[in-house]
Amino acid sequence: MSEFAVETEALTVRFGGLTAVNAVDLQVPTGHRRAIIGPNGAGKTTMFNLIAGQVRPTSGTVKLHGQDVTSMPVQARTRAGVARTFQITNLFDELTVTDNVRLAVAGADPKVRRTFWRPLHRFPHIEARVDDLLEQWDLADVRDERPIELSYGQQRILEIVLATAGEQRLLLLDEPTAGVSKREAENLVDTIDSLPRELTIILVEHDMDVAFRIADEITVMVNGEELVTGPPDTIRGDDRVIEAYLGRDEHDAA
Amino acid sequence: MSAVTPEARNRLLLRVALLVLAIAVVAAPYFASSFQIGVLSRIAVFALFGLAFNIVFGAGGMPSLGHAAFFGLGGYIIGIGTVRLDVGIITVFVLALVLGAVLGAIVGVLTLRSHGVYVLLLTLAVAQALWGLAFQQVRWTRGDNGIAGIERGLIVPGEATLVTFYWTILALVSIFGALVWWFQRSPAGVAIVAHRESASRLAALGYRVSAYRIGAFTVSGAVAAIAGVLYATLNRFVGPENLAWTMSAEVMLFAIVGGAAFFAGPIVGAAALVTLEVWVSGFTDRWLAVLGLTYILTMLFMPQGILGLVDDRRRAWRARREGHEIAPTSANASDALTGTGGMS
Ligand SMILES: Nc1ncnc2c1ncn2[C@@H]1O[C@H](COP(=O)(O)OP(=O)(O)OP(=O)(O)O)[C@@H](O)[C@H]1O
Ligand SMILES: [Mg+2]
Repeated sequence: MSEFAVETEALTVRFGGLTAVNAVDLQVPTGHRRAIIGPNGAGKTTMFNLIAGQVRPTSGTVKLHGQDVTSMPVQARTRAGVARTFQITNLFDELTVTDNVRLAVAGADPKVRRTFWRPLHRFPHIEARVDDLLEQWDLADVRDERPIELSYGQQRILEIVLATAGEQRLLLLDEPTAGVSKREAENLVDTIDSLPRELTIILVEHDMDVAFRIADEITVMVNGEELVTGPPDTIRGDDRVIEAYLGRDEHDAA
Repeated sequence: MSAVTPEARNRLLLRVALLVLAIAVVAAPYFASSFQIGVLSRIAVFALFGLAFNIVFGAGGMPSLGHAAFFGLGGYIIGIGTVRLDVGIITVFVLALVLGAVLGAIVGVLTLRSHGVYVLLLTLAVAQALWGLAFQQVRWTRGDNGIAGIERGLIVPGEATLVTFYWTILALVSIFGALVWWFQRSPAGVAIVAHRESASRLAALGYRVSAYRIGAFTVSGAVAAIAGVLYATLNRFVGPENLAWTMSAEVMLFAIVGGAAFFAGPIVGAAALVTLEVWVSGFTDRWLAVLGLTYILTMLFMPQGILGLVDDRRRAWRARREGHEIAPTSANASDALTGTGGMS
C-alpha cells in the first residue's frame, strides 16, 4: 500500500481557454489532514472534481492509495474509498433524511444497491447502520423530515454523513462551514475534528481559523497552481502567501 | 384526550375508504351497467399504463413522450401472435414483458446523455418510428386497417363473459401494479428517484447512474407493454393509433392530472380523464382539444395534480392542528409556512 492517499502528477485541466488547474503535483500522505486554501477561482473545487472523478484531466494523472484512477468514473472511485461533500449542498431533497442515509449506506453494498424487489427499509444490517449514524450525528429527531426542512448546519452535517456512510478512506470536504451560523460552524468543526484519524481528509476552507485548526498541512493554490505546501506556522509566515492571499485578507480586515 | 390521535384516525379512515372503494370496484358488475363495466376496464388498463409510465416520468424525472411505443408493441404482440399466428397466451405475456423490456433498455440507452426536452424529442422519435413501421409492414400489421378479432376469452381462465373478463383485467392490473409498487420501494426504485434529485450525489455514493436510468426504462417498458396487451384485448383490436403520439401524450396527462409525485397519481388521473372523455363525448368529438384544455387548467390551478391538491389540504389541516395544540399564537405562522395563510 502506498504511503500517499492522494498523489497527482502534473495534473492539468483546461476549460476552453481557461487553465483551471495547472500542472499540480499534490501529495497527501495517508491519515493526514490537509487544507487547501486560495482565492476564489483558484481551482480548489476543480481539484476535488479531478480527484473524485466528476471532471477528467486534460493531462496528468491521479493516484489514490497507489492506484491510478485517472480514467475511472465517479462511482468506481467512491468504491475505491473516496468520499466527498459538495460546495453547494447536494442532497436528495425530496427524500427523507432516513432515505438519504439509507441510500448512502446501501451504496457501499453491491448486493443491496442492485436489489429491485425488496423494499429499501427491509435490510436489517442497513437499518442498523442507518440508526447508528443518525444517532451518532444527532439527526435522529429529524429523520422523517426532508433535507430542506433542516437548518443549513444540519444539511452540511448530512452531507458529511452521506459521504462517510460507506466507511471511506479519503474524505474531501468543500467549504463545509461556508454559510453556516457561527454556533453551528463550531459544532461542525468539532465534528470534523473528531472523525477517525485513519481517515485522510482534504478540506477546502475560506475560514483561516478553521483551516489552521483542523489541518496538519496547508496547500495554497493561486490561479490553478500550487503555490506552496507546508505546516500552518510556515504558511502563516510565508511572504508569497501573505502577498497572494493572507495579505489581502488582513488588508480587508484593517 | 382520547388515545387515538387525529392522524391515526385519519389514516384509519383512509384505509377504510380505500377498502370500500376496492370492494365497490370488484363488485361493480352487481350494480353497474355493462357500459360502465367497459369504462371501468378501460380505466384499469390505463391506470396500469400510467403506473408504468410514471416510473420514468414522476419517479425518474425523465419526460418521455414515446410510451405509446411500448403500449402499441404489447398490442401488436397479442394481435399478430394470436390472430395472424398461433401463439399461446402465456407466450404472448412473456414476449410482451421481454420485448417491452428490451425496447425500454434501448430507449434508456439512447436517452442516457439527454435531459428535459431532449428526452421528450428522442422518445417521441422512437415511438414515431414504430408507428411508421406499423403502417408500412402491411404483411404483418395490416397497416392502416389494424388487426381486428383479438379474442377476449384468451386471457380469461374459464368461461369468458363481460364480467369474468372485467375481473381478469382487474386481477392482472393489480398484480402488475403491485409489482411496480414493490419495485419503486426497492433500493433500485429509490435510487431512480434519487437520480432525479441529484445524479452527481448518487454517483458519488457509488451508484452507476446510467444503470438506474436504463433500469427505469426497462421496467417501465415491460409493464407498459403488458398494459398494451390488455388494451388491445379490451378493444379486440390493435392499430397504428395504439402507437400514436397522442397515446403518449394521454398517459403523460394521466400522471400530471392525478399527481406525478404520487404512486396513485396515474390511477387517479386515468379515472378522472377517462370519465371526462366519456362525459364530453356526449357533445363533442374534439377529445384532443379537451385534453389540451385540461392540461392548461391543471398547470394553472393544480400543478401538483389532484393528489397534490389533496396533500396540500392535508398538510394545511395538520399545520393548523399542531399550531393550535402546541402554541395557539403560532397558528398564523404555520399557516404562512404551508402557504395557506389566506385559506382559513
Ligand atoms: N465545468 C467547468 N467549465 C468551465 N469552467 C469551469 C468549470 N469548473 C470550473 N471552472 C472555472 O475554473 C476556475 C476554477 O474554479 P473552481 O470552482 O475550481 O475555483 P475555486 O477555487 O473552488 O473557487 P471558490 O473559492 O470560488 O469556490 C473558475 O474560473 C471557474 O469558472
Ligand atoms: Mg470552490
